[in-house]
Order: sequence, then structure tokens, then C-alpha cells
Amino acid sequence: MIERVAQHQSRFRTPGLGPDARGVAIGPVGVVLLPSLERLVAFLRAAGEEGALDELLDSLRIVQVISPLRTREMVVEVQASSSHRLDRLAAIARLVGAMVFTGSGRHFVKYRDAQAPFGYDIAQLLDDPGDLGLYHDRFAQPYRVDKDIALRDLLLRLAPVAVPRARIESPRTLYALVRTGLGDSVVGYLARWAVPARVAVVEWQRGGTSDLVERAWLLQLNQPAQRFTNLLRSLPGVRLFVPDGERAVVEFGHRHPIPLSACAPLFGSEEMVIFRAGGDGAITLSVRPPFVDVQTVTSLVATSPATVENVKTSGVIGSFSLPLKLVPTGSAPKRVAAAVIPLGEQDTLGRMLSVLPPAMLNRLFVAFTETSIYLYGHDAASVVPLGVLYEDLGENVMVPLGWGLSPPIPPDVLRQLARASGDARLFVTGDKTPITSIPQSAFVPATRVLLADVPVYEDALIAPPLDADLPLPDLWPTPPGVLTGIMSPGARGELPPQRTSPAQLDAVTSSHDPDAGGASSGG
Amino acid sequence: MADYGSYHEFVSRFVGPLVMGGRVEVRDLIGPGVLLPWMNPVDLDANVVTKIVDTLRTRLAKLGPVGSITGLPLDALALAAVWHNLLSMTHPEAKGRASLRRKARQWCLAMLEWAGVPHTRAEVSLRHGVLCGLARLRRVDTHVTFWAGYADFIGVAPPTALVAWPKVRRVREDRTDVPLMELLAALDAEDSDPQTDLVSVARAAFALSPLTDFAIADRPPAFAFEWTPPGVNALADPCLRGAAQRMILARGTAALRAVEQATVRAAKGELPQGAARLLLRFHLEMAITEGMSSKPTAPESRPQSPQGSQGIGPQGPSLASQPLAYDAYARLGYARAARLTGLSPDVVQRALPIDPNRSLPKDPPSAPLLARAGAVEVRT
Repeated sequence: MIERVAQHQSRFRTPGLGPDARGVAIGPVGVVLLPSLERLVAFLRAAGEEGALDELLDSLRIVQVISPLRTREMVVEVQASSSHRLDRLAAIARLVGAMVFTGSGRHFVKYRDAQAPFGYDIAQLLDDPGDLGLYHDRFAQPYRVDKDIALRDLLLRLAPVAVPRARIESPRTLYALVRTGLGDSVVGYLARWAVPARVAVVEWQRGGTSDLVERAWLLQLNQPAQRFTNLLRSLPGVRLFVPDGERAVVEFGHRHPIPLSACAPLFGSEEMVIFRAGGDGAITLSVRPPFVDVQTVTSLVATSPATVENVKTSGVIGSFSLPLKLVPTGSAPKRVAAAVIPLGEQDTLGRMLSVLPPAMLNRLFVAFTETSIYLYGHDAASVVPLGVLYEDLGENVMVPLGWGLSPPIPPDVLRQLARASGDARLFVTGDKTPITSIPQSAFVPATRVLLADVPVYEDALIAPPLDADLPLPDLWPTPPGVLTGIMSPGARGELPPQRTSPAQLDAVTSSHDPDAGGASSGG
Repeated sequence: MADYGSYHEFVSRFVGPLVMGGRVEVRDLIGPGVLLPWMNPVDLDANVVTKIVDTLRTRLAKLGPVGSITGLPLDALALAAVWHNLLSMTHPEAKGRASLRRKARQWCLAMLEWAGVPHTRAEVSLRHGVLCGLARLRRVDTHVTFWAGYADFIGVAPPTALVAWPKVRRVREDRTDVPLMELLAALDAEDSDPQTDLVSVARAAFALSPLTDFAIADRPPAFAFEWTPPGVNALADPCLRGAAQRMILARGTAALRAVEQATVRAAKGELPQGAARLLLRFHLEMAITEGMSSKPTAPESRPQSPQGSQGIGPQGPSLASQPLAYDAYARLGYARAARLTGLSPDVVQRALPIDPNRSLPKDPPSAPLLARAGAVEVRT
């Protein structure tokens, strides 16, 4: 039925067949034979994913054909501009179990494969090729054209398929189709939360046998937060869509069987197509709806009742007036955060601080009062074996190590009762005045207070160095004369011109070479 | 052959040996166009530059304290290129070639004009640091005699084959060292065309590096030391003045005489008063420095000078090396000399006692300078 093409073969029986630049026999048209509509969709999807679909669209034609056995098969015709394009097409077709032919008119022969790198030629033409005669190494049969299928109609008829939950990505732009009754509430909600969203009202005919015109609000949300996506998704009457390409949106959580981004030329530049899932069909909006910001369509009329006036709040009245005491506690001690040292131990403390390692010293802060020295530093104050160690209860409230508060009130409540300012550290001493407050600003790094004023002797250099950038005085200005151009002070700013070209340099200097011509011999 | 358009070649083969000592290679003329690529050299070898800068710092440290020198300044390299061209033109074969001399003069003047006068102490010091080796520069000429004849080699070593088997071939080599000043004498043109005059270029090159100018003050008459505005302005800096005095004193009597004669010539010309005062101070300081460095002798135990001796006398023969300075000192007296130099009068008196019995010359050498400086003469 068919025979292999030899290298440099130039005569073929197949009409329109000829060798291309690489010697591969191709005709002007390539034909892909697909056994069913599902395979056709799979083929288009694979071509779209691979990026080949958008360049095929201008010459793509889908035809349903009937074989002599009355089976319906699908044929995709494309312009075979080069064997490279057909090679890519053949690779995709093999993936979905389709066959690729090439030729022209009504006769199409199998495209090249591994067994025949230069392609095939028909051994004998069919007597009656019908509308389409396909020649394969296993069959040669005529086909009759049943009908043409427009790719746009095919796209609109296909229903989006669900995407596994794990592969759903958070969209950058989200569209929401909201039933008319919900529109005000949803838009008002989004406006109150200052969500960057725009809204438009869309209308479309239900189609089919019905003349009903449906109406809904279409919201466009830019980079919505996840909680808005979840909220809108959970609302009955709201359907979410994500863009696929510039002119189509597909229901959120679904994808169209064919990549719509590769099919943009099939839709008009002003058109917007909304693909709904669940067999509801696609909505084609002939004009892209004019979106406006949700803030502009939100009603500003306050509907709440009048503001309540003259309300008096009454504070907490009465207390039990229990004394704040320190009691020994059996709980495990927390980390030591501070130490309170009597002022009489100042010299001892100073000598201890002076021998601490620098890393430890850097973490210590000191505040002086008339009676005590407050040493603060997490994990550092415990190294000083003087005074009373304090642990931090939280909220900058310190209690002596091994003691607890009685009554056991939380530290934040204690701060409120003590009316302490926010930056104060509270030391619960348990004395007659049980709390001592030291402002945090009173604590200075311990490294600052170790030394008093350090005497500094400012030594002077004997003379500035010879290469110091000291300007010379102009005691004797340069007189005009032979060296005027050389000595003038302004001459310094002028840079020399670009280096003369090597040819010119050689021409001047090649005639004299002191070293090479240095020898003069005689005798 | 090395191309001196390359920064690395010039620095490693010419500037490096000039500063550190060794064999300086003189090649073809260098045009002013190389300065622009040298501003941002693409082939800078940091090791070589660091070695040169270290030596330069060591040399300058003998003159005074030196800070951190980061690299070779381009104005000093431009002056080095000028000196390279001048040395290249000292070849005997270049003497009669007017077009070549004209081109060398034009290029050297362009580079000198670009380098300009030094404006800061650092520029003066670093220029001298690069060029201080000029004083030691000499060309080795070799006259080779062998059994069949003789050959002269100017500035290059004779080929090995020519001096092989010296006994068999009766080879005899006579090496002659030609110092820098004799080399520069070859720059004198045969004709009087100002366009081929390279002597004025060499003078200008000396003037633009004042410390180098002082360091080689004892020069033949064609290149005699003269006071120039850059030199006087450099002396106004106390550090540079001290360095210049030490260099001139170290050079010896000939240098001292050359400087004093230049001062006398300048004082007889158009010397501004400020410059004259500075030169007076310079000479006084140099005299006191020399007096202090002589063997200290107590004034009362010092032997009386013989009657009729010329000059100030009691310091020995070294005092005769600065007649101008001593004459000015004697005429000004201790107190004014001390005030001019900023020293204690006692120190000045101890360093340079004035002989009250000295004879007064009819034509005192320091008279023009004192008059120019507006100094009042004091009889002591």
C-alpha cells in the first residue's frame, strides 16, 4: 500500500508530496486521525500544554468523518509548513493514540516514523478515495466527511473538570458570580472590610429552549485574603471563578479540559467567557462588563438605631483590702532576672563586676537608688552572690527567689492595682510598702558605670608627615616667560588627549631605537 | 621588546629600578597619550608597585616622617616619563636628528604641562621619591677590543659571543661610567633652533620636582641650579625646608656654593620680598645647622682666630662653604638671626659665634639679599 521514501528521492506518487529542506517527504497539509471525541480533547489538551496549539489555531480544522465501516472518527487538519511542526504534532499524536498523515487534496499518506525517516509514498492510489483517502502501512481506506466541528463550539460545550484539592492554588484574581439577592450584602461586606474588589452586573440568556434572561453580580477581587475566598466559597448562591487566559474564567477548583490560555484568539478581544462547572454550561458575555469599585456602590446611609447618649459607667466599688505579702512557695524557681543589693556593698559589687567575662557583663544593667543597687539581667544577675535574688513573674514583676505572692494575683493585675507606668519594673519586697517601682530608663549598662571619668592626654605629633596633603604657599608666583605654559597653575586641570594611534607612534619612533642601534663596530 | 605604553612594563622596568636600584631600561620615546590609560591601568601588578612604594617610603623617611603612601601618583609617573624621554635622547645617534628632537620636546612639554607645579607637600615629596634615583643614574659604555678589531657598546652589554674565550681571542673590555650630568650634556643642540632645544625641557623637569632639584644642585653650568617659583614655594613648608637643607648639606660644598650663587643671582633679579625673606631664613638655618653639626666648642675655650683671617673663622674650614649665609648672619647679628629663624639667641650664639675682629668686605655677598628682604643691617 505504501512504501518508504529513499534519501534524495524526488518523484512521488502521492499528489502534492515533496521533500523539504531535510529531505523528509511532506505535503502541504497534515492530518491527524483520532478514533473518538475523547481522544480529540486529549490531543488538544496535550497540544495546549505543550504550547503547540496556539500556532496551529490559524489553520486548524476539525472534521468528523465516517469510515467505510460506518464508524465516526475525528480528523484534525493543519497546515504542514515544515517537517519540524509535523514532528511535534506526530509526537503529541502518538501520545494519545492518533495517527498522522500528510498530503494534499484527497490523498494523505502516513507521516514519517522511526522505520522510514524520510517518510512514505503511496504505492497505489485508491480508485475511489471518497472525500478523504488515508494510506497507512496497515490500511488504506476512503472516508466520507460527516460534518465540521468548530473548535470554539467544542470549547464552550466542554465542562470543566474538578482539580484535586491539593493542587488548587490561591488565585491572584478571583471572580465571584453572586445571585442578585445576595449582591448588596456581599458588596457591603467587602466594602466594610476595604477589600480591593470591583463589581459589575451581568446579564445573559439562559439559552436552549428558554428565552429567560438571567442576571447576577460579578465581583472581581484582587489578591483576596484566604479567609474571603473561603467565606465566599461557602456561601450558597455565590460561585467563584479564576482567570484562565485573558478572556475566560473557569470555576474555582476546576479546570477546563483544554488550556484556554492557548485558545485566546478564538474569543473576541472584548469578550468574556465564564465556564461553570457541574454541567451548567458556559456564559458568554459579548462585552467585558464595566467593573466599578465596591466602595462606590455601597450605600452610606446609616441604618442602625440612634447613638446612645448619657451613659454612665460605674467602676468597681469596694475591695477586701487584704495586705500583699510574700509567702514561701514550693514551686520550682524560675530564672533569676534581677538582684537587689544594699548600697553598702557597692565596692564589693564593683570589684566583682570588674572580673566578670565581657559577655556576661554586657547583659547586666544597673540602677542606683538611695538605699539599694538594682541589678537586672536575665541569666546574668545570678552570678553576683550579693543581696537578694529576684525572679521574673512576667510583665516585669519581680519577686524574691523562692517566694510567692499572697494573695496569688497575676502580675498584670498587680501592675494595674499598683498603677505602675508601662516602663517600670516592679520589685515586690514584702516590706511595709510592698512594691518598689524602678523605671526601666534608670537601668544603664553595667559597662558604663564601672569607670568614672577617664583622663585623656592629647599627644601632639612632632610634625605632619612628608606626604601630608598640606598646600604650599604661593610666595613667588610664577612669572610669564619661557615656561609659562608649563608653570601656570591652571595647567594642572587639563588632561592630555587620547593616546596617539600606534601607527603614528611607530612612524615617529621606529626610526630611532637607542638600545637596538647601540653598537657600532669597526675593524 | 617591552612596550612602555603598558603601565606594568614602564613601572617595573624603568620606575622600579630608578627607585630601588638596578638596571634601568630606556626604550623608545613615550608619548603623552599614555597618561590617560595610566590613570586607570588595566595591567597593574600590585606586588611590583608595593615593592617600589616601600622603598620610596624608606627613602623619604630619611628626610622626614612619612605617613601611609598608597600608590604611585600619576604626576610623578609623568615626570618619570619625561626623564625617560630625555635619557632616550642622550644617545649619540639622536643628537643630529632634528625631527626626533622636535617630537621629543613637544611630547615632554605636553607631559610637563599636564603634571604642572606641585601644589602640596605630598606632591613635592612623592615626586622626589620617584626621581631621587636620578642622582645615582649612570650609563655604562663598553669598549671591546679583540683580535680582529674593536666594538663600542653604548649603554648595553656586549654580546656574549664577542667576549667569549678572552685569552684565545685577546678580548679586552673597558667599561666607562657616564654620570647623569655628562649624559644631559648630550642634549645640547648643534643648532640654535628653539624647537629642538631639550636643555630647557630638562631644566623645567628639574624645577617641577623641587627636592630633586636641591638634591642635584651641583650641576654643570648648562643646567646650573636656579631658584624657581616651585622651589621657593616648597621651601616655605618647614618640613620640606628641613629636608632640603639636610640634602644640600649632605651633598657637600659644591652643592652649597651652587645654591648660594643661585640666591645671589636671584636677589639681583626680580625676587619678591617674601621670597627673599624666605631664602634668607633658609640660608641662615642651613648655616646654623652646619654650625651645630660641627664639633662643639665652648666660646671661651675656642682658639682665637689669627689676625687678618678672612670670614668668620672660628668654626674651621667648613664655614667657608656658605659665605653668603655667614656674611648675612654676621651683618644681622645673633638676635635678629635668632628671631628670623625662630631659635633661641643663646643657641644661635653657641652654634655660630661671630668674630668681632673680622674684616669687612667692600662688596658684601649678602647685601642684595638683605636689601631685597628688607632686613636692617646691625653692626656687631
